[in-house]
Amino acid sequence: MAAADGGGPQQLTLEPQHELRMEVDWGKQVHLQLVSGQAEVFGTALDLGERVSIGGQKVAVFTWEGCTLQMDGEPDMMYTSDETPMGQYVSIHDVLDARRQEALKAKGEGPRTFVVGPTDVGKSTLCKILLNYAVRSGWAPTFVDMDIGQGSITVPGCIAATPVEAPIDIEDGLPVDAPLVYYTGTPTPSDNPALYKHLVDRLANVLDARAQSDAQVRASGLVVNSMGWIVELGYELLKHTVQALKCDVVLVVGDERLYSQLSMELKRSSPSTQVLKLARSGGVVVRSRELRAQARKVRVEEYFYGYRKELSPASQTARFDELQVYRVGGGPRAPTSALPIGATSVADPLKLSRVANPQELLYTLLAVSHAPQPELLLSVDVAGFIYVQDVDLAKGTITYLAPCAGPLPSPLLLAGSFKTYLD
Amino acid sequence: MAVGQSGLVLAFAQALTELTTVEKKNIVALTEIAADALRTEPLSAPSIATLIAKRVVMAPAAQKLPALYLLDSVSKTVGEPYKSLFVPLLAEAFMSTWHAGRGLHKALDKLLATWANIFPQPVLDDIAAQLAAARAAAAPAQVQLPAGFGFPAVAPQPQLGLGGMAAAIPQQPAAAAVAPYQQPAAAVYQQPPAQQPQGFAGFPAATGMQPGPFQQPLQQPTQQQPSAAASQINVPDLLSSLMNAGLLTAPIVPAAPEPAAGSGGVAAAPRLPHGGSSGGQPADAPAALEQREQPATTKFVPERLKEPNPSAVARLLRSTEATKSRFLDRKFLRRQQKAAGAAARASRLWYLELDTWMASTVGAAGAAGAAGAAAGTAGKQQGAAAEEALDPSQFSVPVDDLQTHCALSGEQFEQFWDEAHQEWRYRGAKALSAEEAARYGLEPGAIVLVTALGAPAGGPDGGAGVLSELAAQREIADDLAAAAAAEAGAGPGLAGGDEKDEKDEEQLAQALREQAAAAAAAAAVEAGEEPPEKRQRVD
Repeated sequence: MAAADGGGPQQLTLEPQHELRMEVDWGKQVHLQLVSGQAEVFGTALDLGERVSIGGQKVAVFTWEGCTLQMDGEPDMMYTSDETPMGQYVSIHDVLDARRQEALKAKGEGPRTFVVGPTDVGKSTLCKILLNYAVRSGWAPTFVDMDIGQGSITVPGCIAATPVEAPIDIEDGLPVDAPLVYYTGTPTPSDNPALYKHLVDRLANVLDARAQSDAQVRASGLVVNSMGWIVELGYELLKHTVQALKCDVVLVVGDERLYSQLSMELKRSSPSTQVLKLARSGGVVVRSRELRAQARKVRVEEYFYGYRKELSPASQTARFDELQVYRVGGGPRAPTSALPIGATSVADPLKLSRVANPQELLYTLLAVSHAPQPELLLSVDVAGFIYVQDVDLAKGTITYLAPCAGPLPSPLLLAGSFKTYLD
Repeated sequence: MAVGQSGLVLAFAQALTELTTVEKKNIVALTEIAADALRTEPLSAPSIATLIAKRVVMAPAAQKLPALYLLDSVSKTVGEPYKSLFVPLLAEAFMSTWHAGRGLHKALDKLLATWANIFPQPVLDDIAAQLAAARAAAAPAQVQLPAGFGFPAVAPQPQLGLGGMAAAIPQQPAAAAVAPYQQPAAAVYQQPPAQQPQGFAGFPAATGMQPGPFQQPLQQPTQQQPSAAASQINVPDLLSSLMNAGLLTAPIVPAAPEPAAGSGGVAAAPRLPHGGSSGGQPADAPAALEQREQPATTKFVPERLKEPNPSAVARLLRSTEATKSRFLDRKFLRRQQKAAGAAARASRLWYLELDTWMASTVGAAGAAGAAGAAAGTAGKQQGAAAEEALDPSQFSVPVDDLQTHCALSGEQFEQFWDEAHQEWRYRGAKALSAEEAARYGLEPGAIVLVTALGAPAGGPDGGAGVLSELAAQREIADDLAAAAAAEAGAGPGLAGGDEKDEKDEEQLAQALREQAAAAAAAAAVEAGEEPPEKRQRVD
């Protein structure tokens, strides 16, 4: 075991319904061990004696019944609080749980919960807690991440889904080995809202089909995280997601206006959907714009190198003309109504154009598609991402970082529009 | 913990510290791991044996018995070399558990009685002698069970387990039954030992303190027959299953008022507190007994969301306890991989294709598995014939310039001039209806080749979850290894700019493959009785 960064082990006692919040910077480690009582980190129960390492994270250890913890190392910031929204969360879980049981009995659909709100109100934390509680109650809910700016499943610019079958690992976060991923190529949906909607529809279809194939999966339902953009077009996209994914529970965190707006409008458009208002969690740390950009870079690094730099990506060089790189958008768009009936899907109004100059791809992420041919690039999930490290125009080659060695699963690539500078 | 131990030993040590209840599943899982270790890492056997025995000695009083049961289980089911390795530490382990609590004595006597042909007689004699001495020393009679003995007041089920076990100890049934109620109110969510339809309905008085009513309405086999195998290690299991089956009532929850959302539940208690009545409750322990757990409701009552909801908490903690063992070996595996991963660096694999993903992510929550994910693609062709016996020649659709390829298989459509329709059409193709399209994850109107339409991957019987995914990963790893090997043969090849040399890559692929294999093996254990062959047949 690695030695702690100074400071001997200390015992901490938490009163029932209290939360210990701590921040540990990158590169530092704090070890926590549950000595007695009951405790959980974002809904993941700690086992007695279990030792977890925390580094580069903000975590909150909550206890329903009180507990004693042993801590090794010094967090950069630590305090306890008894003002937590956990009581509300567990009440919500309780209703969702009852609905799942009912759904399983009736062979129907379990609850599809959509968590919305502005940025930095604890949306992803709430998602995690609801997922964990569901798993602890024996369900296998599916987590859907619509936050293309700051997704927690894979790199930014994606919408993705992953089944959650075990409590989310405190050190590793969500299971990210087998997600279903669609790439929009941009962290801001305003760049191409049509593409965003198209992919949301696409994902919704797949999830419906998946739910049909398994009763337990169907009854377990979805937990959907959203992006923090809640006005104007962002608001329209939220409404679109509610409809596409047939969400029947919408949890609005930390925004009264959004709550009243959504509850009024959804009462008309989808009366079966229930909209609930939740206060923002006091433990949330507001991130600046720079921090968000930084966080995006971290997400890309995590994709290639792993959360603790435990993965080895492979840098490879290929001739550019052996790859088929496409970019979305740019062309004039025909409205859907102008298309012949039945001609949808592959024939969407989103124009694809082949990238001729590799120079513009430098420092961007390209999605490697599972699509069998270019026409399907926008309808098929991706196999992963490569990062363009270097372009040699004279030799006609590009050098890229791939998650693993070996040939790419497909030469069909979808270009992204944002640049990330990896070291 | 010794430095330089293998990942297996470290992970085992960690898992041991998490063995806090006598749940059978956990003990069986750890026993299997110990058995496996003999195959995979024979040299680690002494470390594992020492770990188990030391754990019994060092564990907090409440956690000794689980560890001792593990020692017993390993000795009986795995046998040598563990048995001999345990011998030097056996007496100490046994006696340390003996001293951990009076309530354990009965269970320990039984355990010792089963050791006659397991461990050598001299050791057993030694234990017997120490026992006699300890008994003589323990003169003072009838002490109440130490609060929280047996299991820490973590969660409802262990408490129930305590009730079950203690009630079966003939000397002190009354004391045991009352014990949970005398604990301070701070230890919330105590469980009553049994159903109590009449006893609790709103008496602020001390009804609850009388042992009488606690004993007659017991509807629980182990408790009704005090002599019934109290020391069986699956008591909490049994209790939880009874509870799930509705034979046992939900626990009574003290202290805070109930939001009582759907108040039509079993407990039509006279004074179900609605919002803000908390002040009206006497705060002492008997008052706590007034509260019954509220049944869950499927309706959100927004005004009540902010009120404390002890019933919901109790339910959550109860099911947590019930599902915990399900995640134990997964956790163990992950930790082992983590330990191994530090040495052999792995890579992130490419994400699965849609069909494979679909097949591998359903049926994960314990449903019977069907074909593996790897079989998913192959199965598609066979499945084509199966489902509807579609005859390709019967199908055609008008040419659609926007859809030139099958949306499923990606094959190009063959055009022909249809006299009957007086138009160009795609041969053997059909446009999907909304329902069909949803089944294949396509959009309505998508044109596909009829031959590509099979049973959609992962039909109703689902895929084998983790297993199949791992099979797929292993396949990928194999491919990788092959690619690396080919590259090594061909010298500096296409992927020339690679930072690492081929050898590294090969090792990496090897490591990956091993990892996947180990994981698959463990997953197979997890999947339990159903052998893989059977799964294949289902398909």
